Amino acid sequence: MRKIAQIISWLSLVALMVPPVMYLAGRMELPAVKSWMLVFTIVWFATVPLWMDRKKEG
Amino acid sequence: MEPMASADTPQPNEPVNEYEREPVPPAAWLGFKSFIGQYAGEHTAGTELMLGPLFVACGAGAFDLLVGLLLGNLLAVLSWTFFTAPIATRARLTLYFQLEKICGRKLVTVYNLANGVMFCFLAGAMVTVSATAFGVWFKFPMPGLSDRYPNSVGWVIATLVVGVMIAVVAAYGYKVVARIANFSAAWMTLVFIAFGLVGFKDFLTTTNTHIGSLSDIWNLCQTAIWKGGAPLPGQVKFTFWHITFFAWFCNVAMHIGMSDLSVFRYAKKSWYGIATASGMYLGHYIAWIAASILYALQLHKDPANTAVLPGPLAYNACGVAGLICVVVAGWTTANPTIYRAGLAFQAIFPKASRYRVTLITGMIVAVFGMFPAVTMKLLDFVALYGLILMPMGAVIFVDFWLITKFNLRLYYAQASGEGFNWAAGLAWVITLGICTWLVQSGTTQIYFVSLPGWFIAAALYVALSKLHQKKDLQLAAA
Repeated sequence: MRKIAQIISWLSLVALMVPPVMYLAGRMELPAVKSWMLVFTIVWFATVPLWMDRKKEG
Repeated sequence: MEPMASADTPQPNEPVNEYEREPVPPAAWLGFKSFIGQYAGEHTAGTELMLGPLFVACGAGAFDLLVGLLLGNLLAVLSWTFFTAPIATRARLTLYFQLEKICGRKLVTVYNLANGVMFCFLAGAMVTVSATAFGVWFKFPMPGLSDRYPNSVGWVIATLVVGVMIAVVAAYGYKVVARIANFSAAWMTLVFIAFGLVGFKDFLTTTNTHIGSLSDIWNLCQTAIWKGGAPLPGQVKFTFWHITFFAWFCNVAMHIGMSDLSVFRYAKKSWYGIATASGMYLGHYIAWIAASILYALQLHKDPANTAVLPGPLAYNACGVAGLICVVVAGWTTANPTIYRAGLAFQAIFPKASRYRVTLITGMIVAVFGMFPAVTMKLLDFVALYGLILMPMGAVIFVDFWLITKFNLRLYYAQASGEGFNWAAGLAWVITLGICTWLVQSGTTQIYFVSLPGWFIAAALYVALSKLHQKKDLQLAAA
């Protein structure tokens, strides 16, 4: 579970950068960039507490 | 909410302060990676969203900004590596304990007071930054670049709500925010980069520029983004050297001022000082540049709109994710700042509850945050903050490396039992007096004065110690 959460977190961070890069390349409109960045932000903050800073607590 | 605790009660929701009055033992030393993460997180803060735009407001040119920041940040990294870390990894003491040994408890209390007040202003600026995000949601008038006082009821309410929330959390829920700060550090850095990418694309669109080569990019930077020229009304013109010195000295209190002795006392090796490059080049290079692009775009679209408001800037670029970034960036950095200010004040009132002191400190910060004066003049304030604390760094440096070469005592207050080492106290006050005169007389500007100030403080401390310590030595001989 922890490993899965970790993978999803890191993927969401990578994905977070895709919309602005696509916008720079002229492949995405700004409203879509804003929406997708919010989605990946939510994914990051939903999954990161499941593994980060958990070593000591375990 | 947890009950109020006395100073002696164990307090679980606060950072662990270990080895406060003893050297850090080898078992507690930390590896290089710990410092990379810590500095990257700490120096990508809410205030970066103010500082980048203020460079543009000060008329910074493309070469001056991009190369000046590169050089200034390098000097900052070298200062940590060659000034702070070597002493920290030899003495392995907190700044406060080392200062106490040199200056005595009473003088350290005065230093604490100065430090605490500066922290309050800094945290106030972070509250201001966070409050600008709420202006986007609730659409109340927000302060302009030249405003010194709150300009709407909505602004007052927003800053008070943000400030009080931060104060309560700093007092009772420090650990929660510290976790959120850890969670958000990597995400926040990427959102800052996204600000730059979106802003740059908008510049291409609004200027109808087609990029075919690197020279096209450079041309856009010079002619549209960082045009240089005259600063906006009320701002000082920033040249290459202003930017270099600002980047070098904006953390002067931490490196040359030796505040980060408390951090690097845990480092296995002194060369770990170069880990500060993560904070400097992510926070004080990429984040400043990205934020400056957003503000330059705003000015390009509407030259009359000179307001530096991180909330609207971030929202226009990255929507709600950008707004969350502004709130989190301000909040996560204001939180430890208020906490540290509370600790500094608590040293003055040791019998007061740490929670109560932190809460009251946070309330003061909330009121400071209401006034945009500090935030809109953040370049000047940051320089002043460094100047006030820097002389004590010179005192520590001289005491550690040079004092015995002048046949003077190391850690004089500890050796003599003095509560107030007048040589250190006078070196501090006289240095500040001379630096103030240098600035007021127009001899130099506040952005540069810490450099001569350091040498003045070092020389004064040696000369005054010669006078001060001699008497005690005679007494000891008698």
